[in-house]
Amino acid sequence: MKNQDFTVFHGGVHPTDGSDKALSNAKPIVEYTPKVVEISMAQTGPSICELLVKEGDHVDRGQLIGSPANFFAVKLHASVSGTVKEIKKIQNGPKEIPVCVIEADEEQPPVKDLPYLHEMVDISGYEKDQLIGLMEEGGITGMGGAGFPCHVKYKPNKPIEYVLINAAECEPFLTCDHRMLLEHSWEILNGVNLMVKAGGAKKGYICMEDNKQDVADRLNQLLKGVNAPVEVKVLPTMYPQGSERQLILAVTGNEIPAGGLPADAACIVSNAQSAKAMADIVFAGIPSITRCITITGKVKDPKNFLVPLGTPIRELVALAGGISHKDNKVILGGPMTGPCIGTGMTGDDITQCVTKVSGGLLVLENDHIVESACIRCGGCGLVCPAGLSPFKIDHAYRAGNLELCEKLHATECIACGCCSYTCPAKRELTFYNTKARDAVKAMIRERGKK
Amino acid sequence: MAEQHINPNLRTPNTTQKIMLDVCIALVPALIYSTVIFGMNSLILTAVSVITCMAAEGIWQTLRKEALTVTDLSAAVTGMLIAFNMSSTTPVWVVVCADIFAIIVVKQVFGGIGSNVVNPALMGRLFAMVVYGGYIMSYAAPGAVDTTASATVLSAVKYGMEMNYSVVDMIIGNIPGALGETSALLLLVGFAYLAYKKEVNVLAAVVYIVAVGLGSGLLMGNLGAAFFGGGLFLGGLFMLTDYVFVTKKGKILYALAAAVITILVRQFSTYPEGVCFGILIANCTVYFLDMIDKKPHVYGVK
Repeated sequence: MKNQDFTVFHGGVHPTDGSDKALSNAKPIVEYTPKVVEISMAQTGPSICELLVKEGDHVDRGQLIGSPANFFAVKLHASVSGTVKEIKKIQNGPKEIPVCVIEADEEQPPVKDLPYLHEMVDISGYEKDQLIGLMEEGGITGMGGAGFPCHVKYKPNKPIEYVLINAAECEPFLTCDHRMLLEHSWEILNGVNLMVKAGGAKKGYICMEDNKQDVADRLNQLLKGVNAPVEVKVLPTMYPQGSERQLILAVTGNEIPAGGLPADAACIVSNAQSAKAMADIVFAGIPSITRCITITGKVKDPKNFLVPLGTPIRELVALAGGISHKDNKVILGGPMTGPCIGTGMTGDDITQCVTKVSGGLLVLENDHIVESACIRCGGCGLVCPAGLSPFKIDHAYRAGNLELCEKLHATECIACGCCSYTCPAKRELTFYNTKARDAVKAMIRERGKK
Repeated sequence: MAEQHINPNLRTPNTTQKIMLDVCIALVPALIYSTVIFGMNSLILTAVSVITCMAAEGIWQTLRKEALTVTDLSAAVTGMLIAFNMSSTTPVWVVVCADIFAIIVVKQVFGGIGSNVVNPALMGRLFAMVVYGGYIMSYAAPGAVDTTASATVLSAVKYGMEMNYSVVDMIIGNIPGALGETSALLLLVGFAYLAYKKEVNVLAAVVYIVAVGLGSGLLMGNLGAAFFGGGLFLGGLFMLTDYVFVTKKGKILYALAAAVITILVRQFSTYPEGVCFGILIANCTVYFLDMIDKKPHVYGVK
């Protein structure tokens, strides 16, 4: 492997020392199917699906149960064979979201043993458009967290050179991608091969931080003698290496122009688990109905689980031995970008169920953060991967000066959290910088209308 | 303010309080040495100064019904630095007046920690110099607590007085001067601790000290006195670093601005020591320097 085969992005932080990932990165994936799944029609924040089944219906695993009702949504399928027991409604802000509760049959159809699980499959028979069609059919979405529909991403109006498979997993604590890459390597490699073709790209890079050298070694081993435009790229461990913009810079040396998309840098970025979902739909006809999730932090026995969508997370927490620290805060996803869903929780308090974007459930000691005054140490500017001065934007936004926020390029904030992480005064810099970003973007849109 | 749980949910264990505590710790070796050579007065003045600063801040914030920030220990740092800038023979009430001026007028009136324009400790010193000049412009000599006051090495050189201290004496701190400024060596030890904890702006400090030492040393023909005869190390290591720029260029620009003013004051004004003025004036130019400083590259913006 070549050294320094990458570009180092500005700033970034090392929030932890690696002991966080060590909690669960050696734990083999546990497959688990719950008795009841609760599949939300809003799999990601802004997306919403229209429910296609009603109470009492019997559904087969993989059957379409939700059709996309807005731009951010993708097709949604039953993750188990069973009977629709109830249609729950969950209030999410002003919206009421239907949740399809399915009681799983005792007997689930077996998963067939197919070649793509053991070797690189020849894909010369597939066309680009056909693959994108399958992406849409399979309800494949970005499984790293943002959940952007894949079939939209793979139809840019710009030529694509590289498909970057994001396996950086730069969020501390999470190890689900790590384990999937180790244990489902062929599915992912086949998926990457398909995605390179679907994107019309020359090459696919599977990009990971150097804390996953074991994965890199294994994939390189498997890729030996295989004729596919797929390569492994090992990058330094530095948060936010897995941020789309930083990843593209690291691999290609190019930046996405401000306001642009990855396609403007001739790239498409997809998550490693999305690649697995891609292989599943193309070769086995199985849509995106499972995912790997890490249950970690202050639980007795941190684990990685491969589960059907809609699995109640409290059951997984129980399987991981339960929460072991009383004064806790519980985070859905990684610690840097995942939302806190409560404090002082017990496992049973967790009502959330697994969605296509649930990377983990993390229990941390409650640190009782209280904001204090900025001491102008400048630390936030040193770590900002976007090259901003977060404390200045913070001051300007709180003073109501959006024009100044715009001059300070608030629109380029990526909400990675590095500034808040590093702030000794515990300023909520990320929170106010993202607010400033959104407000400035709205202001610019207003201006455009006039 | 109430407890919140906003992303990111992981935060550095570093806090303002820890940084300030580390600065206090970093100043302790010099304080101990000062007590050895100048007597208990050094310790008493420092203690009084710290207590006065913290009390002044606490009382002000209580009266104004503001959130109490005394526990962040920034007032304690100011208190230590004000005492460090005074001779051990200074009357206690002069130090107390300087403390109150620094905390109330220089720091709190401008909005408290982080919002003050200039370094409160240096303004406190300047206040005492201007208002009570007679009391603090002469300094105790090491081991001669009860005897006559002395000039600093730097002023002796400037005014052509005889003074027989070797460079080694100056580095260790066996020279007359303000109680905390004499031992360049122990100040450096403290600074090294802060540098190890990555809590200081090493680049600015080095640029400032080297520039002033060489500049004024060559101008007055005595490098030893220019580097170690006055308050250069105390100022450069612990007071210059108060305001920070994001870019390297900005830091160097700031340090050089302070250095140029310091050299000019040392050379051409009636004062022998220019560190105080150099840093205070540089403090005032921060916003201007920041304006002309080329900002880091913003991702994706050409």
